[in-house]
Amino acid sequence: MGFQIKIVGDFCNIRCEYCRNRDFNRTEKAVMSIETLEKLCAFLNSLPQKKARVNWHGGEPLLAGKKFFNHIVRIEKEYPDKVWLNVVQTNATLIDDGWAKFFVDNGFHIGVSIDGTERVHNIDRVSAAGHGTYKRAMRGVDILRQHEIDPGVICTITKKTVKYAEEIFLGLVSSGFKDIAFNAFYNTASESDGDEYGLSYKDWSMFLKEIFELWIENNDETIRVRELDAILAWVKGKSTNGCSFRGSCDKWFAINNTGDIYPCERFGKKIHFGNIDSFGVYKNLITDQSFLDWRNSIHVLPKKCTTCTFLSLCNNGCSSHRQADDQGILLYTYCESRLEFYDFVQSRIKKGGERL
Amino acid sequence: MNMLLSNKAIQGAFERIEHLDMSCLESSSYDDGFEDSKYVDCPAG
Repeated sequence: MGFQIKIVGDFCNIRCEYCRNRDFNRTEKAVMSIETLEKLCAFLNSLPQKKARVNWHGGEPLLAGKKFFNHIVRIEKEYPDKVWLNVVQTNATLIDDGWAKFFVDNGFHIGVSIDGTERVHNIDRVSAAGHGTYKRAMRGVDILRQHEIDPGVICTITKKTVKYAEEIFLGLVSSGFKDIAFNAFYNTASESDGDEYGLSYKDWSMFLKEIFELWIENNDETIRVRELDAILAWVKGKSTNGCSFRGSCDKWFAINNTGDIYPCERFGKKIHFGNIDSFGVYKNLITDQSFLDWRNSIHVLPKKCTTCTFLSLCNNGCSSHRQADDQGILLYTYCESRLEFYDFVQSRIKKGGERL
Repeated sequence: MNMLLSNKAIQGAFERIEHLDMSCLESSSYDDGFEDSKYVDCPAG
């Protein structure tokens, strides 16, 4: 179960091009009130499991300030029976020694958003003035490492950057990242289809194949690429814990600074379940009709899935990345990418290492 | 011997996969596997 807490709403200090067309309001300054934070922690304390995984997110979550984060730790301590697992996903541009020390002292896990090398990152991840943010972000990463924090990296791939697979992978590895995840950009939060950033299934499939070859050539057991682990798990007849493989979209929620609860942020704000104020406890959320209706809707399977060998390992992919099939049922946009990539990996393994 | 299976990157991945806790996928009120993971898996693009 995961909660993506948008403590500053969509407020962000940078202006990534691929966020431009989404229904984000990046310029409206917002921070969750301490009163809402207290209600949020009480809500999370009502989760049935012992652990509460909280992903502090944005916009850029560090814009909430260190004082706010100190409140997080203080309030979580009011619920000592719960094991709090705090994760921050940040663009890293605001990280200083104070932040790094806070993360170390309080056991926060950190993920950063870096889109490869300076050249590729700066194509889309720019400041309000239009300048590339790579140097500022990597300065933040360096500070984290000086404090012995080894951040994971999420690298967003768009139609503009998909051709730079080699540069991106080698850039991330040479920058010291060991835990790499690639997000295929698909503009689900906007009503507009086919925007200039969204990846086709062919693009995504080609990108994954290139990354696989580069990863093999790199021959380093310490480099984990989320997407490769996921498909190699299929080879072993398993599914990884990644939400887009598990059919577990109904166990991932976004909560914004006002306490409003949505499905995963990838859906934007089209679907709204209610507010932590009205639900109070988790059980009231998952028994609410708005949640149940949505949950039922995402588990309707297209015909293609019902005869697919990999259904239990794929579960029709990310439910926000789906398009209607010929019967109007939503099918995972990157279904063919997964199948193609699986065939490719299987063939590579059967071939005994020779490139196809 | 299949050379690809002796590749260190592949071996590392299979080692990680071997230790996935599949039981967590079957329960409705589970402590799911990635809660113990050091990995930050975040769906946001």
